[in-house]
This record gives sequence, C-alpha cells and structure tokens, in this order.
Amino acid sequence: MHYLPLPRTVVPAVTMATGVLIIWLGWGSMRDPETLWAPGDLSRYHADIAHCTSCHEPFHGPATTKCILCHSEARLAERAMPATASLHLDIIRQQKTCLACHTEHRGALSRITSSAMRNPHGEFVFLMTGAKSCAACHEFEAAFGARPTVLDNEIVRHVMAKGNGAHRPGYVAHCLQCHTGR
Amino acid sequence: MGWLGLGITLLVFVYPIKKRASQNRRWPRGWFRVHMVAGMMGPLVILLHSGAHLHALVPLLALTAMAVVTVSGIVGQGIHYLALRTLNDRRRQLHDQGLSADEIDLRLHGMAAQEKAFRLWQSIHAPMTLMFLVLTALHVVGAIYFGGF
Repeated sequence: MHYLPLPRTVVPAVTMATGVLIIWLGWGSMRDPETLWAPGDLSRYHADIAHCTSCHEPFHGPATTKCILCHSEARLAERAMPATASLHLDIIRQQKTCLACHTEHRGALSRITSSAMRNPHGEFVFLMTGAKSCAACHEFEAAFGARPTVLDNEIVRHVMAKGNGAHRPGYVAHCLQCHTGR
Repeated sequence: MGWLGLGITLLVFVYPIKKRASQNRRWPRGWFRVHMVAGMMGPLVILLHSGAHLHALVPLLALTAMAVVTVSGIVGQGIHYLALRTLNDRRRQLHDQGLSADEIDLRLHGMAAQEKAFRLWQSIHAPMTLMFLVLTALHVVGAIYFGGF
C-alpha cells in the first residue's frame, strides 16, 4: 500500500498549534490549576484552598503531613466534638494516613468521608459504652473505604455480653429499635 | 486501566515506525493490522479509564485529540477501502468490455486521482497524533506529580 506524502504545511501548522497549546496550558496552570488538572471540584470544606501544593506533595500525592498543618492537634482539641477529636488525635499520634477515611475532588456538595466512616450508632453509643473514641472499639484499615473491624477488648466484650446477643456486630446501629433512648 | 490503555495505544506506533524504517521493503501488513486493532482497543480502554470524569482540561483535551485521531483513522480506512473496491469493480467492467490494459489504466487514472481528494483524513490523522502524544504525556506527568507514584 502506498500513501501520498502529507502537504508540506500540515506538520509545521500542527507543531505550532501544539506549541501554542503547551504555552497556554502552562499559563493556565499558574492562573487556575484546578480547572486544568483537578479531577473534580473541591468540597465546600476546602473550597478556599488556592494552591494544589497546600495538600499535594509533588510526586507523592496528597500528604497527611499537609493535612495536619491545618487540622492540628491543638485545633482538634479546641474545636472538634470530644469523640471526633479523640479519634483524630489517635490517628495523628499513630502517624496513620488521613486518606484511609477521607477523599476530595468529588464536587462542592460531596462528602469527603468514606461512607463506612459514618458513625451509624449515633452519639448514644458513647453513653452506652463509656468510650471516648471510635478507636476504642474499632480498628481502621489504611485503605480508603475499608470497613472498620470490631476489636476484641473489655468494652466490646461487655457490650456483647449485654442484651442476650442483640449487641452483635451490625446490630448496635439499630439501638433505638429496642431502647427508648430516655 | 489508564496504563493498560496507554500500553495498547503505544502499540499503534510500531506500524508507522516500521513503515518509515523499511520504505524500500515490503509494506508491514501484520503491523498495520495491529495498528488498526490497537487503535480501536486502546482508545476504548482509555475511554473506560476516563469514565464520567471530564473535569480537568488537560485530560479532556487529550481525550479530544485521541478521538480526532481515532475517528479520522477509521474514516480514512473506510474511504480507502471503498475507493479501492470501486476502482477494482471499474477495472473488471472495462476488462469485460474488451479494453486493453493500457486503455484501462488511462481511463482509471482519473478515478485514482480523485482518491487524492479523500486524503484529507491523512492530513488530520498523522499530525494530530503529535498533539495527542503531547497532551497524553502532560496528563501522565500531571497525574504522577499530583497523585504520586
């Protein structure tokens, strides 16, 4: 099969167009990097962050060390709910990754926490068990979205022993089906 | 899935490289088949990789350039196939009418020249590949820069 050679102007024209495109993308990357590079809009919680490197470590991705610059131990202790603060302080002290439970760039109104990380028990569970943090009863995996496992410790064994087997995993979420809540 | 799509897509470049490297030897028919199959499969895998995420401009432009290259390749091959079939049919008709080989060539010369007009696709297909490659490289570097290895 024989193909005719391309017209002489085609390659220079496309090369020039590609060069102009690269310059435009470089200029745009400095002015509005989110439009050019982000896989989605930031959530409403982080919408005021202007620089990608506020959260991303170049060539290493989103970094927990960057998260805790704002979500510091002092700020958590001062502003978060006690159980939330306790869980997050444990995570920071154990140098675990925030990415196991949190994500971003899913749109302004999206959740930034894995669905498995919602507290399905409500605050009632802390009154019931006397625990100060989710980590008192659960082990959290490093993978984003992984379901937390139930620990085998004194608090868990005590809860399981109560209620004639009703407090087995998955059932504590529906406590108000049996309890009045008063 | 993006890496798989890129790997398959890169296979298409063996054909033009072989074609240019062996201009005086025979046409690399086998690699042309690989070119056509990988040129369809690679973009399909990349399309799946992109999913419904069409937010960032750089990968969106890379996807558009890929679509232009792929569609122009499919259209060009279709046109080339139809033109050859028409030419062969006409050659058979003229042969059945008892014309000599020289007379047939003379008559078909006009038709063959018309196919040049269809070569617009080639002016789009090959040069746009440069833009597709540059944008894909930018997308890969950006993904590694922001997402890590």
